[in-house]
Amino acid sequence: MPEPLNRVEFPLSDFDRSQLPAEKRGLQGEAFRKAVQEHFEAEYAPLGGFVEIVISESLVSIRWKREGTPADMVEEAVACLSKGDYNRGVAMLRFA
Amino acid sequence: MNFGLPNSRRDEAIRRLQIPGTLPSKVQDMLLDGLLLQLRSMSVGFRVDEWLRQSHPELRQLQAESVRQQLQENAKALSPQIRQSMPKQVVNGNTAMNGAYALFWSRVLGEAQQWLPYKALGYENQAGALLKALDMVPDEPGQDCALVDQWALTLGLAGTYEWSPYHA
Repeated sequence: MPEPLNRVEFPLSDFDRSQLPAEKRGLQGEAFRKAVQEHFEAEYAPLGGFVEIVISESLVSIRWKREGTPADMVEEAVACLSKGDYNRGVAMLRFA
Repeated sequence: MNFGLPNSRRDEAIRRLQIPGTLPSKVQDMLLDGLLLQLRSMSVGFRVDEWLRQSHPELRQLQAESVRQQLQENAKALSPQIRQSMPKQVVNGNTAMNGAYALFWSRVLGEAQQWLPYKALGYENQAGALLKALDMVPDEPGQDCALVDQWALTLGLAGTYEWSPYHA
């Protein structure tokens, strides 16, 4: 059986700022979202597999697979784009 | 474990968990009982999981699949719809226990991805303390109540339940 895509979402406001480097803990708005994005990319990247991390105004959304191929991600990205979910589709293409 | 606490103690437990008094009493009860049920079942469940893993290595693949499904189910409780609509103390207790589950199995399965969301939400200390209790309390059925009590202490739930003798 193929590995299902793992999904997790949680409020950005619940993110524990102490996870960030001290100089980034007080950031707000876009700069904060960028710092959170970088944090998760650094956490997930060494683990291999595929991951899609989307930080929106209020939500952290992570989808990942232990194994997979870029083709899996491209396929899903195309499905998102064809449904009009451009933010997610573009984000997935960046990681594919 | 007896969830049928006297009303005065039950009200105190509900206050401590900051369950709003404006909620219907059935909902208050559901939140309190749900959290206590998780406290009782998940702590002791670790013992069962570990026994199964050690005693029946031929079932490990099946167990891993079952655990991954459970981890995905638990992850749904992190959603804004849940975290922002439930009382904070209830959310924290539930997430700390789910975090301990994720931390334990992420190590066994070699899938740190399962644990990272809980770490990002700040549950590292509590989840670690819950796992430490599993090491500190002897792994014997007669010690199950002590294990639950230790978890309750860690989660600030001590005194929200009472034990009653089991009569077969």
